[in-house]
Amino acid sequence: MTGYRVPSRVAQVLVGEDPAIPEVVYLMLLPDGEPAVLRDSAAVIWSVAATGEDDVSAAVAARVDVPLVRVAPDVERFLDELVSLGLIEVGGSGDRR
Amino acid sequence: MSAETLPLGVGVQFAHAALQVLADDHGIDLLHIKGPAVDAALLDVRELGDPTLGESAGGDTLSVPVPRRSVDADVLVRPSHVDRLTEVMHRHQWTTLFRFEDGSAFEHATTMSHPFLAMVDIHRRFPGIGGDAELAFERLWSERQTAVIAGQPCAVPSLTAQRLVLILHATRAGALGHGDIRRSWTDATDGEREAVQALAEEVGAELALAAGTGRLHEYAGRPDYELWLALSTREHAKPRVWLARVRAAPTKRAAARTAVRLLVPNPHRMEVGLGRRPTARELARAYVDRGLWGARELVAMVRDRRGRKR
Repeated sequence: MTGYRVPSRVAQVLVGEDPAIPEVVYLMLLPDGEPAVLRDSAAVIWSVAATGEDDVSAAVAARVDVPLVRVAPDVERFLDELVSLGLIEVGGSGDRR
Repeated sequence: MSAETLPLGVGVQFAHAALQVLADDHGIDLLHIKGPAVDAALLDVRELGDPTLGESAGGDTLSVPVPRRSVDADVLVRPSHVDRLTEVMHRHQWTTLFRFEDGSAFEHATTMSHPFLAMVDIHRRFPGIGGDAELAFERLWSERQTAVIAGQPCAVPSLTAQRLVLILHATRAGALGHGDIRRSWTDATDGEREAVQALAEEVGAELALAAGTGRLHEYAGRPDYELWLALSTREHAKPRVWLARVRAAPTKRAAARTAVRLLVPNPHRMEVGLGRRPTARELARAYVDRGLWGARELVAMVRDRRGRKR
């Protein structure tokens, strides 16, 4: 299990009726990184990871009501990509929202 | 994942966040004002039926703050830090769209633009605050608080100072019926109004505050009385506003400068509007148009005065 947190220099705006399941997440590495737009499942994965959840794949599976074995590989791959872009970092329980 | 055109509201919030990071990195003091920096206590609210209460609850509603819609991000900067901020911003993709002298007659703000963020208005003073700008900023800075914008902790004025800023802004726009004045003053408690009044007196904003709250007559005779009377009542006779601005200037030199800049076309603003440098012919034409406009307005004002005397 790996926990994540939002780096201190990442700006975030979540859009959607339910903050726990945002439809769109806008991110920007401050002060002048190019903004990234995450939609649908990508938005959900980032927002779950941002809460410091220990098991992001399991939490995402529960939120979107899909079996864990189906989502886990994609979730882990996407988290690695987010980390490489500096839009999330390994650390856990670092919810800054 | 993709980068695309940001919705304006997101671009405004990101602009605030970007400026706070630049300020933190370079020891620049700035306060985020208006737009997403406004305290929830001063926002308009929308009443929603509460679905969790069911119909039996009959009439129960939830009050939900309505986020402010802004087209740009506004910050008030310690005047002695303004040059450093603009220099830093220029190194981070920002360009100066309008200089201080290109803006309003108050010359209070410069506008910066960015390839994908919302425009930013850098205020070196706030119209209506007539005292020394450096001292006024220090007064507001000393009671700053923090608001989270786009996930970033940003420095904002105290709630009392936010009330004052919103009232002055609406007053300058001649929007005396604006919800900002109602929420910041009319609906405030006696104690909250007293705090706003005390702050206004400290920073030299008592006259503009009075203009926004129906007490301007108490300041009749002050040099800036006519100006705030004209602004707060949306005076349409431009020569009258022009004269009021000249009279409100703190020194003769400032008065002369104000008089000239209001009559002479601004080549930089023309360049921004045209998207290129104006030609000599276009500049000459602008001078002629300005002159004709001034003459027409003056004639209209004289006629209006004669009409009132009859």
